[in-house]
Amino acid sequence: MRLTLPRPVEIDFDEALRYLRSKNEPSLLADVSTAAAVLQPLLKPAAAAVCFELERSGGSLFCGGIELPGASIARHFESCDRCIALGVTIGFEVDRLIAALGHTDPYRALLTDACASSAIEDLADMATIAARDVFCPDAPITLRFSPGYGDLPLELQPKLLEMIDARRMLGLTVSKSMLLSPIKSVTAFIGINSNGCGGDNIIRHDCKNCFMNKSCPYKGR
Amino acid sequence: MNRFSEALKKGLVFTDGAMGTMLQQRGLKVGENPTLMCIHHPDVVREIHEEYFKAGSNVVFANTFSACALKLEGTGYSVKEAVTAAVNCARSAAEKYDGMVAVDIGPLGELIEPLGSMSFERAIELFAEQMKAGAEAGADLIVVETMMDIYEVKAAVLAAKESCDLPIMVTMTFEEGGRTFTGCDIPAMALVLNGLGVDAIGVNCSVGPMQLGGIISELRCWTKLPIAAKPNAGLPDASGGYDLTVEQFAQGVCQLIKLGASVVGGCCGTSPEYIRAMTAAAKGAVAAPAPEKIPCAASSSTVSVLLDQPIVVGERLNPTGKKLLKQALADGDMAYILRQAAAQEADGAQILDVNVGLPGIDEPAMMVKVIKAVQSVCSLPLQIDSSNPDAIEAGLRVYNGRAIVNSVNGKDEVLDRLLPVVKRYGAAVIGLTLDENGIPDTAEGRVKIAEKIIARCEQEGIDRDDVIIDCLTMTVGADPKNAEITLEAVRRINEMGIKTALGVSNISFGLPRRDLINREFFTMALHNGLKLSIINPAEQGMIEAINVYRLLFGYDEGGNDYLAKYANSTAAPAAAAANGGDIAAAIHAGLEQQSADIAKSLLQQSSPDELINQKLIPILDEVGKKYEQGKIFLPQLIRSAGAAKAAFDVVRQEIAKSKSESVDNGTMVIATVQGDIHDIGKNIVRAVCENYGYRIIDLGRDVAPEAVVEAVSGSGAKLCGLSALMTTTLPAMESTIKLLAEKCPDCKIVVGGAVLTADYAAKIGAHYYAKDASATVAAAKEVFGK
Repeated sequence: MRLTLPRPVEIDFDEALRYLRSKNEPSLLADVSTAAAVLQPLLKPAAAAVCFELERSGGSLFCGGIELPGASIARHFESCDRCIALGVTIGFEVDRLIAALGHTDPYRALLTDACASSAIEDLADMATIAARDVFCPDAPITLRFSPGYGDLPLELQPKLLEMIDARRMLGLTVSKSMLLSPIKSVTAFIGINSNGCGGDNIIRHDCKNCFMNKSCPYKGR
Repeated sequence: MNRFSEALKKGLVFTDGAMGTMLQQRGLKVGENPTLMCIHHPDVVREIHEEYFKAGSNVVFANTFSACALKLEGTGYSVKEAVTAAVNCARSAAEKYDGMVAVDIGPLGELIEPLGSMSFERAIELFAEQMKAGAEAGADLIVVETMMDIYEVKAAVLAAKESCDLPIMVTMTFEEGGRTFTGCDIPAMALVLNGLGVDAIGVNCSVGPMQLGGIISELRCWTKLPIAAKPNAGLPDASGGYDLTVEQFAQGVCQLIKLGASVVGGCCGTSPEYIRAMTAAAKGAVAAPAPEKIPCAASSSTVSVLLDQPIVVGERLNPTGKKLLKQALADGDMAYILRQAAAQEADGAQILDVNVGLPGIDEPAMMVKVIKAVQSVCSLPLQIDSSNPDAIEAGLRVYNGRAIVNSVNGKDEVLDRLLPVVKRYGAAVIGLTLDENGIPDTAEGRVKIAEKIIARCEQEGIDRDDVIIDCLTMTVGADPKNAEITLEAVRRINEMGIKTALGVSNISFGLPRRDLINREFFTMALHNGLKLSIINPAEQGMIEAINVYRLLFGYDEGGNDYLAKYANSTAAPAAAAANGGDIAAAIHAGLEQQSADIAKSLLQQSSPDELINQKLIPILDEVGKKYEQGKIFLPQLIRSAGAAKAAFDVVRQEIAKSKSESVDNGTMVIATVQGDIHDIGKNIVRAVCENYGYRIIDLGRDVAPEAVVEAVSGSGAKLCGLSALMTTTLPAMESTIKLLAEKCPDCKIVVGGAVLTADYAAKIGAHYYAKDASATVAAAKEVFGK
């Protein structure tokens, strides 16, 4: 189903600067905010989610009849009995703008790309909470886990899109080389622990919950 | 006449409701291809069809929505087997009710270039396979539905026209804002499909009938074709259901009929009960009739431009007299061409003329390449300009929108060859007032030829509204009467209710201060009724003239455009000549205009070569060093590269003017590999490297190995840069390197991209691994020795 979003998507300038691996310098910040102002009206945020029971049989994990292979997701979903399949996108206009700027103004293309990355992250966070509110308002949920994380194969992407009915709900498709289109889109699984209590929801990013916590270049910055 | 067309003539046609929803209730699982139910459980599918006929449907859609080759991959069934089984199920149900069967064509599942990576030609093949099977199995019509990309729709319609002779209905899926996910709106959809000659167009899926009223009303204004509406049973809820009762749905559909829909049915969430209520409620209802006249416009996939008002058509994508564009076309350097397109859009062009005619070039192939590239980044409608009919036809075929053809003329041979092509692809067409006897030297003579062209167009089935006459501008340098003849012809043809076009600036050819003559003549032409002004939008005097004309003659409602452009402006001061200045400081600070101005003044003291090799390159090296040392970051690097490029462009223009040899430190081909559409990194490499005097041939993204090899061997490039961002596209990089090593063993290869490492680069046979743009420059310096 399409999720109702409580507010417009926000572009976080600090986050955009982080994607640019840059420090907060006034003229750069001014250019980032200009890029964000051009980008903002082109954002067409949309989010969709479906909830499935998790099943375990013969050492494998299944979600809505689809196998979720690999050790990483099994560990991630250890305490979970249900799972949300989530898809979000900020739309095709953003791809068009970045592609056009790539030819005419690579500097603005770079800044716009960083702003768009910040926008899709904000949307994914917002949609995660919206999905929790629909499917499990009182139960703890895990961080998002996407195909390509750990040993969960990227090749799961087409099945995940089908589970969400992503094409119809979001206009979101995947190419043969497993690239999402629109480019600025996120798909993920989120585990639900229906028997847990609501106090320890893990929604916000917390380094200790991330599988990159030993090798992350941004940790501590 | 076929059965579907006959039924449309009689009045309302009722289609069926959802198939997917019904199959899920009967055990279809997520991820299973629903078409296979027709092979494994034909009785189940037949029963569903039969229930719809019982409920009053005249047409059912065979369960072929997902029966294309891509979606059947790995199932063990061919398209022909699956489609035949599905049509047979529907046919056997239809017999008892004398019903019709549509072969149902859904999206291919992968997007077509530039949004995705499938080629337009491949999409046509895939659709044609499915449609041919449907026609052979005995379907009565083809339905193309649930589409979000008008380019995919165009591929489907061409496939239908070329693989069978069944009638075609097309429905797309719109969001409540009136656009599809890919940005196509109602006018763009209608303009493309009116032109391609389908039998009915409309909307399906999307939302419930209550939210579709505005869309159907708008569509009614833009098409004379019958309109189809197949809405959902309302909006979905968390449990997977929909929120409308059968009665509410039926009432909603009746409203859509009043607004113009005459082919009605249901999509997701509907069932035979919904259709039964709908057919009962709609009994005796009459759809709003089609309008007598619809707007005449050109469109891209997202933007439509009405042609019955003064329009700026940008003329700069035409190599005549343009050295840099000629070079770019010869090199296949799309980046230069795209910059020209974007600059014209920014300067105020509303339509772009595209002409790629060069001696010795494969013009049809180049037209296809340039149109695909331009439409990937520019939202303006295009005017396809060539004297080569094959190039026009090739361009029209791949154009994603409704184009204008520039041009036909009064010669029978030209009209015979091109009018059927214009008709087939539904374009508007410009007719030049010349014929076998040349260009008449009277207005009367030109009007006569115009009348002939219009009559021939109408014979061919092209509406006179879609014909634009170019009365031809000849220089007053040759004969002072030329202006008067042209203006008189424009006036008379305008009075006939026919739109006119002119290449305005020809009027001053061979004379000094052409800008003065052009501007005055342009204003006069507008006053005589000129609509399509083919001009250089960078000449602000011309843009100002048309903006003022639009304000004075009521084409700019409330003066909004005028105020937006000029409310805060004053007359431009005379350009101050920059007197020297520190070009290093300007480039370090990323100041483009200042860098260009200083470069201009430096060119008075030093040669282009000295300026590049002794000034610009050392400054860029310094910038690169600072980046390496972490003193500046990527954005500053790119900004400096942009400023250096502005200086470099000044030098290039100087070189083009002086006809001296261009600065050429070596040729390099760059591309993002096949299957990968990330090009930010590659564009940064281009921006930095081109400032070192290297000739960069940028092939863009998603480039096939063969295309890379062709560009390298064609240009004799000694270095090729390949980029890939995904682990899934590294195999494409490897196969490109392999093919290059085999066909162009002298060419060195440098690779980069987020997932690459130096080890992996060496393993797949690259000569250099570049972690960033500066490292690419280092590789280039080594290969080219400068």
